[in-house]
Order: sequence, then structure tokens, then C-alpha cells
Amino acid sequence: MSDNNSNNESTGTTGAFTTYPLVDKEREWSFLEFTWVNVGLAIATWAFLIGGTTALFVGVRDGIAAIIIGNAIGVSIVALSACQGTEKYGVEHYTLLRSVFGANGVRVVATIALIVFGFGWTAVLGIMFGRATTNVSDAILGTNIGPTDLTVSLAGLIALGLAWAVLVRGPVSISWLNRIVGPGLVIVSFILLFLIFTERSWEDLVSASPLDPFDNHHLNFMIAVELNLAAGLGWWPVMGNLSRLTKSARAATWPNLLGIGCAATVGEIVGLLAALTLASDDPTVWSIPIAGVVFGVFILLFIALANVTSIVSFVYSTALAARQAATPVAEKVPWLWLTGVVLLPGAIGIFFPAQIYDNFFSFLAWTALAFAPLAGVSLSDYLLRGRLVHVVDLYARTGQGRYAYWGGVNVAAIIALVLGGITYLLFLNPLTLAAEPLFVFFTASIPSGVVAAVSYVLIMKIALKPLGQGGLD
Amino acid sequence: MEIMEGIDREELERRVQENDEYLRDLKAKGGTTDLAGREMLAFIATVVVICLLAILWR
Repeated sequence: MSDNNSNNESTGTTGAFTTYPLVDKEREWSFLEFTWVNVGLAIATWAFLIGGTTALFVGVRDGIAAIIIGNAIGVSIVALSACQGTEKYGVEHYTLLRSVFGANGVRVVATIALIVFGFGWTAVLGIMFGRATTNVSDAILGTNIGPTDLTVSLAGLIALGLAWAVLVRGPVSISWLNRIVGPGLVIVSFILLFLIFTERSWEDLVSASPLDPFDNHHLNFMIAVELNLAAGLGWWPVMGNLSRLTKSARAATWPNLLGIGCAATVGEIVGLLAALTLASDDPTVWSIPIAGVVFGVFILLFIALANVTSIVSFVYSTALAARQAATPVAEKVPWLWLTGVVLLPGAIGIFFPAQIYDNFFSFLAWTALAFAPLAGVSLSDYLLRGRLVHVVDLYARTGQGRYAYWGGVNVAAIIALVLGGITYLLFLNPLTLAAEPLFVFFTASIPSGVVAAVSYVLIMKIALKPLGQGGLD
Repeated sequence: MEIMEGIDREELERRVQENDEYLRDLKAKGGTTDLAGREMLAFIATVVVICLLAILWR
């Protein structure tokens, strides 16, 4: 790489780092490479955590079915709603969304992503890293560090520091890291599965009771489906910015199912089985009881490393979101400092492990409430436009071009989002998981996304198209 | 139409044109520029079958 290119990368002016559309030679990932990237993303310890959370409500059979259904639907919605336009035009997700929400409206979307990922996921993954490494310390050095001790938070900061070091090198380093961690974690998952089945028979596992279920069996199953749907939908702000680095629509779409879908499913099933075996939903306490001290420590360290890869990928995407939320100021901020600022909220969240990590199921439900309507609106917009976006107009000054709307805000999209969010709340309370009767038939995410999509199309066709707004040619 | 601050119009238009050519070449070689038609149906059908199998197995 030339000095000039190195300088461009560090200051964030090459295509992969900025809002410019990517060109042929900047598309890094083939079908196979993107699949491995997705595997590396999906099979981190958060997958084990979601599996453990699923075990709170259902046993093995229902849990496996819920994990498969939730991930397949959630990930496919993301693949269709977030990955198509970004791959076709090489533009980053939040730039493409200017056609949907307007130049200022997209700041709302970017802010939602910043909150969920910059604060929520980064903190969760950092705390998991902290708990994994302090459990290693307890096993080897004989320390006695509690799950909410300050040491856990300080160890979590190391994860964020490592992630930052990788981030400043950009997507290529993410790809290299995932080539190591992705396959490695697949091996770790199968070893954990093997060890679980050497201790317990299938009949033992099937007879294990959920850890903390509600009274209604069908409700428990649908909550498990909903939480796994949420896990799938949670990829919505991430995958668009990654899929623009792929070489074709095929390479941008199917690897979501093969990589995220399959790998997350495997990781979550391992988490489900381990949680039911050890009666704990926290993945950082499983490895040593299952695998013994030596091998358990090795697994914990590898899992800790995998958390770093997940943080890297989340923060990469969130930093691009931050650029959109704070354009044009953020556009001038060097990539190094932009990623540092994005990591900062998570670094604060790490110091509240009991509130964030131990209420993970609620965090998942909030994630679905945020992203199901967004996925519905963005997918319906792309289809409404016949998959045709005028790229130069995406970069117009606020109030100009085909996607000017009113003051840079598409009111139709905002109304649709609000209606989708209200629909979610009518089906499920994300704080308490108290569900309305219809939830057990439809979940909350799917009606939320459908209502957002349908209302968006109706408002656009009835109100905005006649006014010549939104570039609906 | 003016372009947003921090974006060079010439660079933007050069990239858009280059990407259009890339998409044309890709399509000419039989690649997928849009997931549509049969491939879209195959994708959705795959998801439906996965879910049905999971429900039946449960």
C-alpha cells in the first residue's frame, strides 16, 4: 500500500471508510469471504448468551425450533431490507436511507443505531469479555472476582482497546481476524457440544426444565421465537454497511443465511444446551465446569477474543452511522477518533454489568422494537422504487434533489416507524415481556414490521407521490 | 442541485459511473445485480421450508 493510500485510510477518505459509493476494486468480499465474515460475526459469545436467554423460557426441543425459526426469519428480513441497495450501488446503509427518511430524517435512524450498538451491544460484549477473562483469573490465579466487580469492567475496557486497535486498520483487518476467529469458534462450539453429550444423554437434555419460564407453554415458545427474531433483526444496521463490500447481490444475500443464520443457530443451540445443563444463562460460567480447568480456560480465552471481533464489526458500522448522524462535522473527524468516540458510550456502559448484562432479554426486545419497523420501511421503500435509486441525489444538500422531502425529513417514514413501534408495544411489553393474546400467534416483531411497511407504502402513494415528493418516478 | 459538504462532485459522479459499468459487466457475465425473480423466490422458499421443518420437528 502506498503512503498516500495509508494516509487516506487513516484520515478516512477512501471509499470503504467514507460515504462515497464503492467501486469495483474496493469491493473486498466474494460469496465465500462474506460467508466467513458472517460466521465470525455470528458465532461470538453473544450467540451463546442468546441461547442461554432462550433457556430461561423453553426446554431443548422448543428452544432449538425457536432459535431456527427466529434466526431464519430475522436474518432473511435483514438480508432483503438492508443488503440489496447497499450492495448494488456500493453506498453505505445510512446514505442509501436518505432516499427513505431524507437527509435529516436519517439522523434519527443513525441515532437509534448508535444507542443500540454504540452503547448496548458494545457494553454487553465488553462485560462478557470481562467476565470471561476474570473467570480465567479465578481458575488459574485463585482470585475471587465477582460477576459485577469493578475488575470485570476494567477487563472489559481491554476488549474495547483491542477492538479499537483493529478498527483503525479497517475492513481488511476485520476480514483477516474473522478468518481465524470464525472457524475457531465453530470448532469450539462443536467441542462444547461433544462435551455436553458425553456428560448427558439426549433424553436427559430433553427432560431439562426451562430456567425461569412463564406459566403458559405456548407463550414461552413464542417469547423464545421473538427474542431470536430480535437477534436476527439486530443485524439490520450492521449488514448493510458490510454487504456493500461484496461483489454481487448473490454474495450479499445468501451468506446472511449461511453465515449469520446457520452459525448463530449453532452457537445459540450450544448456549441453550449448556444453559439447561448447568442451570445458568451466563456463558462465561459454562466452559470450566463442562471442559475442565485447562481446556475450559482455553475456550474462555478464545471466546473473549471472539467478542473483540464482534465489537470491531459493530463499531465499524456504528462509526459510519455516527458520520450520518453528525454530518458534516463528523465527516472531518479522522477515522481513529471517530471510532474512539463511538466506543466511549460502551466504555461507560461496561461499568453497569448488573443493569445491562443481567437484563439481556429486555435489551433484545428493545432491539426488535427499534429494528423491525426500520426493516419494514426500508424494504418497502426499495421495492416501491422498483429497486432504482438515483445515487447522486443521495448526496444532495438538505432540501435539494429527489429526496429533499420537507426540511430533509420524510414524514411518511417517521409516521410509519411510529406506527410500527406502537404496534410492537400493543403486542409485547419489552420491559416485562407481558404479552397480549395475539402475540402468541404473530409475535410482536412481524406485525410491527408489516404495519410499518404497509403504512409507509400507503402514505407514499396516497400523499407524497401526488405532491411530487420522494422521487417516485 | 448542490452536493453536500465534504463530498467532491466529480469524484462522486466518477464513482457512480464506474459502478454502473461494473453492474453492466456483472449482468453481462450472468452475475446478480438484484436479487429478483427466481432467486428471490428461492431465497424466501428456503426460509419458509426451514421454518416448517423446525415447527414439524418441534
